Amino acid sequence: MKMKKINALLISGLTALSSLAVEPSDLIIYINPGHGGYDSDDRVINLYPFADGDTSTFAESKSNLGKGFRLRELLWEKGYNVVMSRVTNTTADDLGLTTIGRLANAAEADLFLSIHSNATGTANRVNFPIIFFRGYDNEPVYPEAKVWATEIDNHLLTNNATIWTSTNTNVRGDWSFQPSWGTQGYGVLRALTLPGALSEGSFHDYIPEAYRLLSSHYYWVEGWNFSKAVNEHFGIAGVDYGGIAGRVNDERVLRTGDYKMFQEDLLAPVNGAVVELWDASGTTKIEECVTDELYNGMYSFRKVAPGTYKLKYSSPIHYADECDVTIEADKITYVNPKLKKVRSTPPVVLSYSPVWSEGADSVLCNEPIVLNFNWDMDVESTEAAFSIEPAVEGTFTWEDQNYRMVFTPNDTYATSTKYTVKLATSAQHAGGMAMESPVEFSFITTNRNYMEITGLFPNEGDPVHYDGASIEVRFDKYPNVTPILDQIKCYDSTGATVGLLKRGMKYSKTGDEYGYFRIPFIKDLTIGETYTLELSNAIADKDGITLKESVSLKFNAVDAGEAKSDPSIETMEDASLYSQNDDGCVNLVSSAVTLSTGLFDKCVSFAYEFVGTEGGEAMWQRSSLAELSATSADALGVHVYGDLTGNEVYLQMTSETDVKYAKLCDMTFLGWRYIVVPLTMLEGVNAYKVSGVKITQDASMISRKGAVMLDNVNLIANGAGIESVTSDDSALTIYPNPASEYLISSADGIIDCIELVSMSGQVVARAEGNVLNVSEVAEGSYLARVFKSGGYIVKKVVISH
Amino acid sequence: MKHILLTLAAAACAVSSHAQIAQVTSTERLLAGVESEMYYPILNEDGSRVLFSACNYKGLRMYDFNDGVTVKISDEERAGFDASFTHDGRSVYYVSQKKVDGLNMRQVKQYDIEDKTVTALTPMGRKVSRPVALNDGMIVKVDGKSHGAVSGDDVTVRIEGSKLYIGHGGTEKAYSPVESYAGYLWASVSPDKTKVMFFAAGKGIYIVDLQGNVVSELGNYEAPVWYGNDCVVAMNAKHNGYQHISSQIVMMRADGSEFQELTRPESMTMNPSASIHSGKIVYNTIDGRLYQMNITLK
Repeated sequence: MKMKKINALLISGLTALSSLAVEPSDLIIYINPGHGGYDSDDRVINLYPFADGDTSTFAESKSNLGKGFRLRELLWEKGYNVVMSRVTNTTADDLGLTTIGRLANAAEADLFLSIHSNATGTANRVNFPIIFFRGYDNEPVYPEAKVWATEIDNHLLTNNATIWTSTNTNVRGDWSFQPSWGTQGYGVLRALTLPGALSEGSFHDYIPEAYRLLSSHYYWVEGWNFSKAVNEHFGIAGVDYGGIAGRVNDERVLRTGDYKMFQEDLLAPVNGAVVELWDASGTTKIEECVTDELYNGMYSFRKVAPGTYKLKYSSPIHYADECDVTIEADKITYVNPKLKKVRSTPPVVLSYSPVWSEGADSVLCNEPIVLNFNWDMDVESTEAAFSIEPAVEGTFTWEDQNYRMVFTPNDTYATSTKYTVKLATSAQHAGGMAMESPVEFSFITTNRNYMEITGLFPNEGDPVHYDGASIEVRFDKYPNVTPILDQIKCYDSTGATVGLLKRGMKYSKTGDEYGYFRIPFIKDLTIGETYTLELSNAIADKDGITLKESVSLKFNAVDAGEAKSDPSIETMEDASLYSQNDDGCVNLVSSAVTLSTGLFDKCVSFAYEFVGTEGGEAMWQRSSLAELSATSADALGVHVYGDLTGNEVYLQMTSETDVKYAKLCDMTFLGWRYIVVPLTMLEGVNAYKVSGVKITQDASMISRKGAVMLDNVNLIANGAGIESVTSDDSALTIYPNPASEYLISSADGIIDCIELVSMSGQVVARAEGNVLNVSEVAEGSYLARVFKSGGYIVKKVVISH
Repeated sequence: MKHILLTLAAAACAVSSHAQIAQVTSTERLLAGVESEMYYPILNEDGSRVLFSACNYKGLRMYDFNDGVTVKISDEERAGFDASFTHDGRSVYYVSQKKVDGLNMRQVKQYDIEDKTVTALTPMGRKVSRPVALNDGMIVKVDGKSHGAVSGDDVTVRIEGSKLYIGHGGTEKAYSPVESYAGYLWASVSPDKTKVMFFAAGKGIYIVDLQGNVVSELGNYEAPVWYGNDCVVAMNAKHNGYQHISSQIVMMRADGSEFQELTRPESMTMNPSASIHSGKIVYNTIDGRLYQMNITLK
């Protein structure tokens, strides 16, 4: 019922207005150019080329005033009485909102217009007018104000010199648009005793529009459309002349700038373009307009008698062109010329990369091929003219307004390979002229085209101590860790993401011997849970060389310190008992034995540094033999904190007659692990006691230094028959190592199968039984996983062909 | 909602600290739950009645403090814009507005408080100045023609754009004491008829003598009214270009020597009217609530 009443009011209002016999001289139009002064409540956008604080840039207070002036001129010309709230742009012109409304009332105005432009206040960019009246959308305080606002919106949308992202009607009641303000609404509309509207004519945070809002030609277009709305509102006839306005753009050169652009705003506006209005025959020039240097390309001819004309346009760097244009009375005809740039010489390649010559350093296997031209190039013909041998699949991208072509290989180039790039003469610039001479150059790639993982923890199937666990990956080069949290993911068995603590991340820095990153979990892992670790193949070194393939593996959370009932034959609570035994050390630079925090109170840490990457040994002797002894029928349960070097850890066991070494593990893991070692290497029934600790260096780039920590060494009486080992078995041998054709495993008991696992956790070869064919396996370091009944044993092996 | 409640609470609480000119003795809300949308209050001389209107000056209502009764004077457009009490306080002058053949036409009317009758005082016109209450009757210009007559001791003031017309001794002269492109507003004569106060848009409040000489400059505040001959009450509103972001009632000595905040900036209080005879200041909040503040001059 209410809606019907309002609609009736609107219709009656419209009817009344259209039947008026009023003259413009009877009417008073109040114009309020919004804001005022370059003050804090002004909206300023720092546009190139203006420096910060330069008021020549876009300021809403300035453009609002410019539009107001153009509107006033047009209304005066028709004979309206016009009152403006300001004609200058100073701080004093920023009148109070109550004052503005009261001034309009005091002026006894018939229509009020507050001129503004808009901004989204977000990162989103749009461009369209929104016109506000006081009240709710469907319940205006003055129904005539909604009519007035609609008339404004309709006319503003006829502006074809801009790019609108929407041409929908956007006429809103300020109470509906700003519901959080209640019925406060826009301040200038509050106190009006007359119909008023606030025009947000376009969005000045859409940067191409901000540039247009620097142009007096653009002010005139908006002022014209406002004046048309005024005439329509009062049923006043329009003017007997027309106008021409538009925007001059290059036909294909793109606008530069790191901001959002839509449709033809993607094309560069032409500064200094000359637009001329000629008679229809093209013999007499009537008027000339030159676009400014402010990247808007705007021009206008504001008072043109109806008829047919010729519009000619050119610029110093563009070909001249022209078109016919017909002018109608009371209408702007929009013409947006696109100029073709003058390209008078054939295209040539000014420079290219990679540049290589015999004897020079070889080129990275991911290096893009870049060609710089003297002209903006035709994309299709230039890409077709490009070739590379051996063939490489790749992607073309164009930069610098098509002056630069970049070919990026989809995959890395082959290693140590000579490539030859050619650009045939069929390549053309944007003006259609072809190259006169072909271009050819070659380069040789390095011997490395992927980043290699040299150490990884957790690896496939690894038990991981739940408390304080970290992920560590080691590489042959320093990784770029900036995006690493996007490239490494961990999930629990439900698929929920397991958080990683970025601020706890450590990574390789200049001077480190290898690349790595270590990143702890935010929370403790859940004992018994199986987790999935995924490493993206986007992980790259500082040169952008990536992993060859992604990694996905599963690991299990365990409690490495789970209470053991077995007695300890060495509690590892006293570091002073151990000291370096020089006779047992080879290529050792330094070592240190310290007491550290262990799984069970304290533990002993054995730090070492070897001279090089292979052949080192470190030996620490216990000052006295441990109290409890073991025999070959027993086993040891040892708590080892591995350092991911791959180095081998041994316990020295001494009897009254001889000395033996019980291998605990290869340190292919990080953190605490409980390791069971059958003591079958001991002699008969002799009683052996722990007498020292030994490290034997693995030959690799990550083995030069580290620290192993040992905690309780438990005696498992009569445990030598235990087969459920999870790390090592000194009775198991794998040979040859390095292997070329076959890898053969030998152990006490039946071997179920052998798997060869890459350092990134991928199973690369598998065979039932104890013989594995490795002839097709790529060279490198691997982990051989030998499955025996009840468990498996891991050995590091090298494949070399 | 919380913000709104706090704002309204602030509106009710006057700034009582560091009072230099006056002491606020009490503040109370008027017509709570009875009337809404009350703006632009106008007190009569003895403070016994107050006129108020809607936000767009539509309609005119009057509240009588003595009997607590509100009466509707007019439902017409613009009725609240130029309303005033007659000199004897028995009637109210106001200007109504309505569309005639598509044009806004205005007419001065008089409402008799006792008889509750309305009388048209002028023909309808396009340009109607603010009716100025005189010792006997009022004077107004309708489409350039004066209606009413001034006597020898009447002092009048009216505004046309940036001109101040001061009349006394039977003659009227135009003055432009301060440059203001946008124009002057809120002109009034002091109770002792020796000074004229006005607001110059973009500049602020000025007081001139009857020869148009500036005697004091009070700052860029809006809607000033006299509180006796020596004090002025006004509103201090700030905005962000689109909406008010603060507004308070302030008081100052007419010679500009002292200044006092009567309400807090966040109270969003506006449009004061004052009566020194009753010690009252009445103002509205931005959402149309009416408050009465009682003060005692120091």
